[in-house]
Amino acid sequence: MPARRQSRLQAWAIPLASVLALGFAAPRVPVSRFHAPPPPITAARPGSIRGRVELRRVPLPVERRPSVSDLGTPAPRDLPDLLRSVVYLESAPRGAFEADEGGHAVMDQRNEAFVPHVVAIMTGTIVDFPNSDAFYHNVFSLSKTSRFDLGRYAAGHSKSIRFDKPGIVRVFCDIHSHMNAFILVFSHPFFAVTNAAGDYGIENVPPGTYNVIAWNEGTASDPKPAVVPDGAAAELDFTLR
Amino acid sequence: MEGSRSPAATKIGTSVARGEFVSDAAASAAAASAPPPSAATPFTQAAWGGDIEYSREYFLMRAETILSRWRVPFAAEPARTDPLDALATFVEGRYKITPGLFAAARIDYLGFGSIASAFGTTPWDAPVTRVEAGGGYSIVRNLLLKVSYQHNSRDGGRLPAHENLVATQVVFWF
Repeated sequence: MPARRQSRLQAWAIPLASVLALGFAAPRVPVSRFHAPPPPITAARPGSIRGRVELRRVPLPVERRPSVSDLGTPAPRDLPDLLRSVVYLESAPRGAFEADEGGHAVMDQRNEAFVPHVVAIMTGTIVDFPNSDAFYHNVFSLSKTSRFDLGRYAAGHSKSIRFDKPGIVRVFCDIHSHMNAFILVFSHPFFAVTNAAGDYGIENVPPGTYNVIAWNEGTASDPKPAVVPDGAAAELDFTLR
Repeated sequence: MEGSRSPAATKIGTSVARGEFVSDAAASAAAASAPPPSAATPFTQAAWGGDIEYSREYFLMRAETILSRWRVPFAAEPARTDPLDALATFVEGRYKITPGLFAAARIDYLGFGSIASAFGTTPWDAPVTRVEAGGGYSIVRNLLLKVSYQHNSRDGGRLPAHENLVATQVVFWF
């Protein structure tokens, strides 16, 4: 196409498109509005999403395999807290947060259990795995999100790993097969871990409509819509299993 | 003090077991031709075991030995009153190369005590030595693929003196 003809077409097309757009997309807006001074800009205040996750059926903890040490004075063992769920936005609003370097989180190994049993973090966070038991542990994961093996290490020692990829990481101990835990890695900060009663609160959410998901021990709910008002809280409850 | 803690773990164990292993009827029949040394020492089997485990980060080593001794009720000549001995020992090591991937090696030995026979004093069975090397890869935590190569040496008997085997194994546990 010759350049002159192209420029003529463009000269017609741009005003036509503008008319069509104004005519059909905003027919009821007074014309004078376009010439009035813009309204004062008020920054949207972040809101929150709050609610409760109800578990119809609580999963049973993995049974401990008998050990020779049980013949003497068996070491105390904690049961994992399987009541904690994680609630998160399916996708985060663009530009709603600033990516930082991530901080530190701790998943302790205490009384033959990972404490806490569920940790939710942002990408870039380093998780420390201290060994607070009197015997050895060996933290590892074969998850697609993060595949690692920290080797065997003694009481009082700690090893760490940084999580750079979002997803779910299943954590185990190579010595004590009943020990397991979850690390949920998000690319945004809009998530929360419930308390023992199932209550949660996702704070500092920009106003808007979001899909929210609840997760517990590998089971995720269907996304539920939540409308976060300006500077207020949206209520959203879940029932899992 | 944290700095003085050893980065390695060593476990040592030992075990002893003893018990009768033949029925009263069989023991009575055998006792007629070859009475046990005393009424307090019937046909029993005893085993003494010891094991040690050493681990350090990605390396694990285990060794175990069991000495077993028992009296066999012979109902026909030649009757025998001396006990039979067997010694089983193994040493194995494993190293995790990457998460889910490991290499391992193991040496087994099964030896037998000597008995007096018409041909002199000889072991009552042929000792066996086995050397095994292999590796494994965990696709997921409870699904493991293993491949190993085994070389067996047997000092005597009707079986071949040397035999090589290659084995593959799929392990699923729950």
